[in-house]
Amino acid sequence: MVGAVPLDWTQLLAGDSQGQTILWQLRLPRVLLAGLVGGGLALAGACVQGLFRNPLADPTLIGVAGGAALAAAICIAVAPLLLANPWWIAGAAFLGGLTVTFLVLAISGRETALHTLLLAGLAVNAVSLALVGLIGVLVVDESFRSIAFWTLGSLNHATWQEVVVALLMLPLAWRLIYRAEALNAMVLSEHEFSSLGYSSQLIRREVIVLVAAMTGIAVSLTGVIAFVGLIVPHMARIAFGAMHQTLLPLAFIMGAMLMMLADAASRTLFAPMEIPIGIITALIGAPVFIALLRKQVVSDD
Amino acid sequence: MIRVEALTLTRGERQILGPLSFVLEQACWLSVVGANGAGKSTLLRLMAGLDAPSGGDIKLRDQPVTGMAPLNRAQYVGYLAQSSATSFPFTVEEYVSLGLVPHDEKTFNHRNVMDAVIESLTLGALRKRKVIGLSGGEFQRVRLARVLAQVWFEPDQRVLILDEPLTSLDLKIQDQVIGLLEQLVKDGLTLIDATHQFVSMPVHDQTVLLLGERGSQVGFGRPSEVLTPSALRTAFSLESDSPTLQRVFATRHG
Repeated sequence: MVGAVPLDWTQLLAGDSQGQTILWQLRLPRVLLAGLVGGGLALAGACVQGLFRNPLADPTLIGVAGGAALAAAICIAVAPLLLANPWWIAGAAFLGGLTVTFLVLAISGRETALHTLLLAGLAVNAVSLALVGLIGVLVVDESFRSIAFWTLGSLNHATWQEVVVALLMLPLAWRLIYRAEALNAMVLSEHEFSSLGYSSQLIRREVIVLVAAMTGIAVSLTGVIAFVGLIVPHMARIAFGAMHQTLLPLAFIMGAMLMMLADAASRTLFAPMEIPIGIITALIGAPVFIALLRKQVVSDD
Repeated sequence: MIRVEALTLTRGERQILGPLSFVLEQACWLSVVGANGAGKSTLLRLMAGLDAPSGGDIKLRDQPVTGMAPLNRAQYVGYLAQSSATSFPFTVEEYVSLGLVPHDEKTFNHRNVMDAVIESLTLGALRKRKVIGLSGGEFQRVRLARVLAQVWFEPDQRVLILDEPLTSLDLKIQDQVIGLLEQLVKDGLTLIDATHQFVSMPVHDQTVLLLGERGSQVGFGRPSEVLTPSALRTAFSLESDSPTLQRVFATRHG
């Protein structure tokens, strides 16, 4: 209900048509999109952390989101008329995210040490966002969203169509939750994991494809919203334990709530001016990340 | 019964392991001994069906281990790697219960197995603790409990493969774990471990496989027959006046 234009229940119920339009066409899709994207990123983050056996992995930090953003930007720039509908862009972002995940996996090798993982992600992110910026300069087109959209994230473009695309994340999330038991077992070493009867390669591949798809959808709709996929799973783990059967659904719910709150803050803190939501998540997320990093470095010694 | 026939592993042109041939009866404890890099861990992974050999085969009750369906294999063969670490706050109970994943709740009472395993490794007080807060020795016991849970029920049907299981355990707990493993072997378990602690080994009624350079088979059989000074000198490339070698044989015969 909060936003630049104050709305009030009694007026809405009395038939304030402008207010109703704002609520139905702007705010409601926006809140739903925030919830779905936040939940999706948090659940994807929890899965990536399990997969890489590292609580500091995150779809944005390891470059998946950067790759998705680049692919989506290319898609919009190359063929604005043909491809500029949310379905195509989401598809392209999925492929971009997938490519980058396999790239990062290839760079960091089997045991995926933390520093190689983060450095590979850093490099891939830098290249991706530089190219997005380059495309932004070369393509003078109304349809091309600003570089700030891609790097900081925004829920400005929320319409019902976007919400429908975002709903695609739910079956993917469901499938990942179905894999919770295997994700638990990934706490063991690679070979111990296989010795429990899992096909390590098949499950890795499945989780990667699902995570890339979820991240791709999220990024194509809202740009790269950092740190949600990192801190929410971490908070959920502290609060509810590490078992993925409970962790994944709760991370989704907490991610959705956090994102809706962050979006409300982004719209109201400096109203009527709106700050990109990525600024808020980064302001909360970066300190938490640094604290986590310090803790992990200490425990590695 | 496990039958290993002309087993070899090569990477490129390089021979890494073998050729190895031996037969292991059920209810037997085989210790794989050899220098660092001799291929002990590699052999254990092959025996556990986790890697495929380049030549020859490993048969578990006349069935090639690599040909078994993964879930079926997991029900009969437990495997503990040399080390693994975690950064996730699973509780001890949750971690140990991973060993029960391959087993159907109907045929394998999870609750009973958990209780028995946790008690036998005196982990009762740690049940609800997070594994990330444990000391090295405590975590090693939890890892052991996880793999013991996998082969606990009807041990005479199962094979347990442990890569240096006593690492970071203090002497008292080593005794406890060795006693526990001996009891399981008496109950019919087939146990294969890699170890550097062959000094203490002849205490047990064990079989030894001594690996030499590039994983070649230097000896297989009873410790007193296999671990002779000359065989150890060959396998570990030791000088004839090696102090360690002298200590080993002073302890054993002194």
